Amino acid sequence: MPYDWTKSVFRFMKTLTGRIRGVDRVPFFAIIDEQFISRIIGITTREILSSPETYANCLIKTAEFIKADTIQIPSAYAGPAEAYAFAEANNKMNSIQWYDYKPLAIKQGEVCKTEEDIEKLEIPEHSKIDLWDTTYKTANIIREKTKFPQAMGLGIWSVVQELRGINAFKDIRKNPDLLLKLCEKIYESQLDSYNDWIEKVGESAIIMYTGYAFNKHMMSFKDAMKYEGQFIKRFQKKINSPFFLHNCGTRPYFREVCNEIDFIAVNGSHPLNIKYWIDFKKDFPKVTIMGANIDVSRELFTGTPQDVEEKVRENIINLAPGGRYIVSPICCLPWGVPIPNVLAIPKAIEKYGQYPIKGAQ
Amino acid sequence: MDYEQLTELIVELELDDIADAVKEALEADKKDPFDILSALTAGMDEVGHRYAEEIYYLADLMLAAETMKVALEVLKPELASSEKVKDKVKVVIATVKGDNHDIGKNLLGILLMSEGFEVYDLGKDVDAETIVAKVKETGASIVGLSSLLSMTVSQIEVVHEALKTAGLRDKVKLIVGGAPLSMDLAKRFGADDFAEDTIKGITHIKNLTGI
Repeated sequence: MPYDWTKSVFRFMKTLTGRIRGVDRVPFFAIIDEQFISRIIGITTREILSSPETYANCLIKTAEFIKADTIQIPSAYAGPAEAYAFAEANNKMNSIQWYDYKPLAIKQGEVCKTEEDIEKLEIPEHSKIDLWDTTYKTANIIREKTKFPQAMGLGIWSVVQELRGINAFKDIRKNPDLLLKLCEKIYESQLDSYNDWIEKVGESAIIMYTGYAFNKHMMSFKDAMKYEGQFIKRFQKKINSPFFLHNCGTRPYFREVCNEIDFIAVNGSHPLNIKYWIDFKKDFPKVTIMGANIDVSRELFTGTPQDVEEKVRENIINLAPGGRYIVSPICCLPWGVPIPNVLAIPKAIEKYGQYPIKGAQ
Repeated sequence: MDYEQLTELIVELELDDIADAVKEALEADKKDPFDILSALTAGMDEVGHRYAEEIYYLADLMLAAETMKVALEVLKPELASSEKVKDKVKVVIATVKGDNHDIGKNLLGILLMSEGFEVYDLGKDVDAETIVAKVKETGASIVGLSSLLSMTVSQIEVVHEALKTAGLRDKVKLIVGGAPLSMDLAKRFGADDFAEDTIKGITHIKNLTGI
């Protein structure tokens, strides 16, 4: 029987927007990256990215294999692919490293080693960059085949760290103006990629905003707003689509940031204490929780399928009643995660996630 | 220049003033370099405390580490020529193969140096063979590995196995850190210990070496 993407789209979009009338069960959002695709399909990252058709087919097959309700393109995420664009625009492709079975990576801090590098940093034209062209075309194929609305990824600090590396943290205290200049250039670059997306893919149904500055071990909330938050507000003035905040850090400022900025959803795996998330749901009833405390490094990696089932159950019975909860392991599924553990997620959703939720607290 | 002032310069992250202050303490005030080091380390302890209390953040930690590094550059020749000089604990640190994130690892390196450890920083994206070779060459008793990516954490096991094959595993303690890791996962990969952040990493390494 063909995979029912129409039902998945309905389930995900309705839950995300808090209208669960007619929704059968809790949706499953998985972050599928090139590494996981390689593992499931059995080809290298370069082969996956060799054509939009291959990329799209591999992604669809992988999402269907793990029974995910969502499908989105990893290279549309504002991390390595955006760093790749900067590297190419600034003739620093030697800072990019390719791997057979995982996403490409940039040597952190290589592109903006010096202050002069930041001053002279060229903003990429994404339409001229092969990886982004493949990304746009892949998004179109996926949408055509699955009808799943494609999400564009944005994020400032994730790219700052890629380009400036460890020096970015020193800049916070010693050279804030220079750091802001870099943030402005990344902001301009991301507007360029967003405009390309609009032109080539169409309106992004939702924006996945990766907000790595919003971590307590990184910087104060005030600084996080300065180097990330203010840019989100500016993006939101220009972009009509709703934003969800992805943050796979261990000490996130979810509560603080949701008091300042409108997000339709938060996507994280920490804090691990479920009580935090129960309280979050009470205090932010209009913010959908995607994830809560299902961390890929814990039950999924070291536990059994039964452990995973229990973790998913705990999240569902505490957070899904009334809607606005989406099961999501965070972050990308690493190579060593046992596949039976991954498959335990959709099984647990089938078992515990049917509306109305049984055994709700 | 009294010891409290030196401590204060570290706590207040006075990168531009620290070198002159240490020189003054050494030359004009003829202070013992080991007492100066103790004063500076007390400053780092206070910085670590402020980080734990969320008064300071990573940016402050980085700057404190940089300030300490500058102070140590001035102090190092005096410490080395002192009769009190003792054998340092050698630590090899690296970010595992396939991972190019080195912010935490770099910070740990600087903090370890400021605590008097002899640090061999192999950089990022380092394979197990290179780590084993460095342990052999230096006789290090601690290996500290960093992995920020969930997709590279299993490299810890590769290093653990390579150390075993080389007959070095029982001679070194393996400690790991990085956002996707937990104590359970670290132990599963064969590590002896896990630390949530660099400040805790220092404490754990001291415990592992019995300092």
